[in-house]
Amino acid sequence: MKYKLFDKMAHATLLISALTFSGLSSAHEAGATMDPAGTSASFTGFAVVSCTNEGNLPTSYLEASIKDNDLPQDNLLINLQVFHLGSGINRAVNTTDPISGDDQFSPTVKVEAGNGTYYLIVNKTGVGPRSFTVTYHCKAADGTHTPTDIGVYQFD
Amino acid sequence: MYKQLVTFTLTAVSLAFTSAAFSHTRLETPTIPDNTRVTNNVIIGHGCGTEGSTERRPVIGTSVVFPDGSDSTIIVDGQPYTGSLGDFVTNWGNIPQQNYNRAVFDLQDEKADSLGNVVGFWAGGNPLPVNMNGYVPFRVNAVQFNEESCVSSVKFYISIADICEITPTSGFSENTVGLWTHNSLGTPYDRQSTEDDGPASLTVTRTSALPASCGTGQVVEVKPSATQINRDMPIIYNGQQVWPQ
Repeated sequence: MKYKLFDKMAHATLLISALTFSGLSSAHEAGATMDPAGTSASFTGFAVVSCTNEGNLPTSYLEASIKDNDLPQDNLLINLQVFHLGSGINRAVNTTDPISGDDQFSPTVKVEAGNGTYYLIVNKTGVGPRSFTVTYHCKAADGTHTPTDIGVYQFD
Repeated sequence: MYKQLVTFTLTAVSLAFTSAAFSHTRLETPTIPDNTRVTNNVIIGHGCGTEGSTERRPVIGTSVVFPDGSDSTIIVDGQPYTGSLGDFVTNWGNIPQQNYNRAVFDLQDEKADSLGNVVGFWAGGNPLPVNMNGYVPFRVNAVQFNEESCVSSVKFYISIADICEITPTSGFSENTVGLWTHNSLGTPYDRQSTEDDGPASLTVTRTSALPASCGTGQVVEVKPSATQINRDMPIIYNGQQVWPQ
């Protein structure tokens, strides 16, 4: 019967799973390559991060930083902007990885707006592909990690 | 002992068949508050077959699709709305997350849009006994409302296909697939029904106070587009479409 097709896939699934796990980064890190064709200085990534309560403990702020994984190139750096709109808190902040390829993140920045929706933008200062990693964490006032979810709205 | 079990099982199955109308496939928790993560389940209540028939075929897989919000139909207080979902929901995208579970089906995976946002999931691999419920678990990430809007609730219609036999779309019938979908999108996955009562729903309710000018607030509904259903309802496994085919 045709539903046996599902059964035949079980072995392949195990192999795929093993390969996938080896490529995962830790939680609340996301990465990709901007401008893979090397033709767009205006390449932009745009994401939404949702922060909520951990039990009865509310989120106080979202902190984030960015790391350029490629070797340095003249006049080509990557930036991360974090912002929040609404509920009377309209705030934005920028951070730039000053040295590409050194395996160090940019200075961590944060926006304090409590539970709610925050936005991230990643961009760069010129033409050229850039592999990057962003780390982002919703946190309570005492530094406790709170639920952190991300969605992507744009990457081009 | 074994014979007794078989007899008992057959009796139970027979009783199930002759009891009230078969339940639709629905979510275990169909209404949730905003700003809160919730663990949920798709509950498959029965196999395929003509209602009233004493013969049912087991479900061997399920395909679940949430409206992506980008080209979805939005209805406000019963009227079509030409603005965007973002006028009411600030973070729609990547909201459902499948929970790994092999209690019912061996295989499973999420469905994602071109940006990697999860828009649904599928599971399959074992026949679900026709007299039992099948729970397919997932998490709903926190849905957050635009607090300056008048939204009081948002109902998302979730399209589900319970598959009993792998066929091309031309082979869809009550005996091969249970379509818990809209009835008039114009897709091969449309439910054959005079009423649009197919999809499961997830209603998110507002917990913060409405602005004073809003009165009782607005009731928002979100339905998937035909384009999205045609794109996201098929099951893709290891780069190949395995249903329908």
